[in-house]
Amino acid sequence: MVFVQILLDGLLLGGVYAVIALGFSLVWGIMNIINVSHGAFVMLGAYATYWITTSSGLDPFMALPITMLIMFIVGGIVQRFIINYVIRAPAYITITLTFGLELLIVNLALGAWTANFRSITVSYSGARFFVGPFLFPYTRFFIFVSALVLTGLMHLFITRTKTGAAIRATRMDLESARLNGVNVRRIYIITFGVGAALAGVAGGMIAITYPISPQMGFSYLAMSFIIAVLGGLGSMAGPLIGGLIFGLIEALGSFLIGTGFKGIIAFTLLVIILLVRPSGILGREYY
Amino acid sequence: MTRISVGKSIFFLIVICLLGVFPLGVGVSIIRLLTSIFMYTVLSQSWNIIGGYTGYISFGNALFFGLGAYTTGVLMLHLHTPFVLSLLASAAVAFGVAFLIGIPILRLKGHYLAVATFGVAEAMREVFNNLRGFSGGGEGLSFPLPPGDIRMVSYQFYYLMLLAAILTMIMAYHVTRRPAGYAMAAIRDDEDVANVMGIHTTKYKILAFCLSALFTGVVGGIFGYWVTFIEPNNVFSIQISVMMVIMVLLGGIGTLWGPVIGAFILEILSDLLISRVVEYHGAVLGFIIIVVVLAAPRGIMEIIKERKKLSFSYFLENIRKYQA
Repeated sequence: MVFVQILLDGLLLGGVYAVIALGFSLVWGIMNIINVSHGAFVMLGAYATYWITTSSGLDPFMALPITMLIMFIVGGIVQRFIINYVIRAPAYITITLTFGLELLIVNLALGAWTANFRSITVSYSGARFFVGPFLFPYTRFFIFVSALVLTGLMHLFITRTKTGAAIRATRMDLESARLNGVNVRRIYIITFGVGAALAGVAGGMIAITYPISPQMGFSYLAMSFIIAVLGGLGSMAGPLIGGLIFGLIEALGSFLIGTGFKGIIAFTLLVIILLVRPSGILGREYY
Repeated sequence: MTRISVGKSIFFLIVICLLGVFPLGVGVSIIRLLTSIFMYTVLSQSWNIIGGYTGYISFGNALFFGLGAYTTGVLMLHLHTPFVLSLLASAAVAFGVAFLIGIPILRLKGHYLAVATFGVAEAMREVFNNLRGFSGGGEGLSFPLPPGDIRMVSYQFYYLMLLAAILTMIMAYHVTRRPAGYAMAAIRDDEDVANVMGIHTTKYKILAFCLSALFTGVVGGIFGYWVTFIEPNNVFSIQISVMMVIMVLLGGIGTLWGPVIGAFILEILSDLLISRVVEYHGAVLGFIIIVVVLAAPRGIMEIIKERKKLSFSYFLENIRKYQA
């Protein structure tokens, strides 16, 4: 019984992980950029949700769409004025640049908001319901559902809309996309903006369940690496399945071997997958 | 193999002698700064061998630094091994581990290699955080205190790091001017062509990785004894891995003197920032990284080479070069 409950907890957490990794692997897959500052965007989103909730008294779940919008704009600006200039550069240049961005954002946040932990409390924070013998906290359950809905919407956006088609076309063949009237620069701004928005909304979800601080982002970056590689680039289902598996492994590893070892398991898994099947479980070349 | 001219060798002898007597006249804090500059010279030059000369970008070289630090620490603390012998052991461990993980991991390239090297270093950090007993686990490891008063001790580490830096420079110089170095350059420029030309690419990639690990492990050991206390989050930190890359980028990737210039500038800058604006030190560093990568991705060596036609448009061109 305890065992199943632990699996369920891991699965619920996996939903948030999936959203973070979705944004990360979208940017990696479409723009071929490993965004080391992705964790910083998660943190910014968490603070955006926190400030919206505490200053307006809005329900944190209502604040999530606003957070998404804010982070989309932030991501678009970062893309237009910084990332845009290294988009064709080799990997070491883009990784180093986004690392600099991460340092800048996190340290500015530390200066502005201090290293203190903050948390959002709502009237239903501790509330839960039972399905048979299994316990579901309301907040985590809603977050999990929102994560699934977001992944579904992203899938529809990429496969069904005109902009989505343009994004896919840019990934497949840059020149042909250009010849067909796709404004590539605009597509990159949208893609990076969506990546930041997903990181931000996941940050908001984390802020609802856990205390937040400016340094919270980095562990989510490492996790994004693992999930992106585990699920593979090139589909929406990859990060979702990768995220859920990661949540399960994390919960199981902590339960069976000890909390300290989940990092070892995760990173060892990362290296093994890279060596055995670098394209991941569901990886494809194109979306 | 090209020979160094007499004038050049005299110049280097003078520089080395100056560096040799320099610490006698200055304060301990400046000796400390120079010691860390030498350390970062070793780290970034070592990274340059695999990342710059061979074109295989590692974001996990802190792995060898941490392993070196822990090897020396554990040997000195538990087996009372003499310091110099422990350093040799650190070199051997770093070299050996680079060889073992190099065989599978150097099949990857570009983004995937970057993520994999990061993953290996992080996994090792977690392993050392959870190892109980002889390595101290997450609580860290205290080295035996070096004997002598503070000034003597700082001299000792100054000369040790200087020696390590000189040895690394000599190694890098020789690597680039021997067939092995040509093989590495060929791999960087086009691995498939290198293969077709009969170069055993796997062999030279692994050799480059091992050489880049060698002195990184040694200075890890020196660093541990110097600061007397290490913890996994500190010596296996991603920050160290990235600093190597940034110093090389700032100085000039794939050049002999680039890493030295990068280490000097960034360490001095970082020292100034810490003493002036402690709180925003990290933010300023991040800002500098962004500006350097955008405006001068091929570093200061390139700027020196192009100084005749240097103007504002040189930087503009750099910024435009990789844009969408």
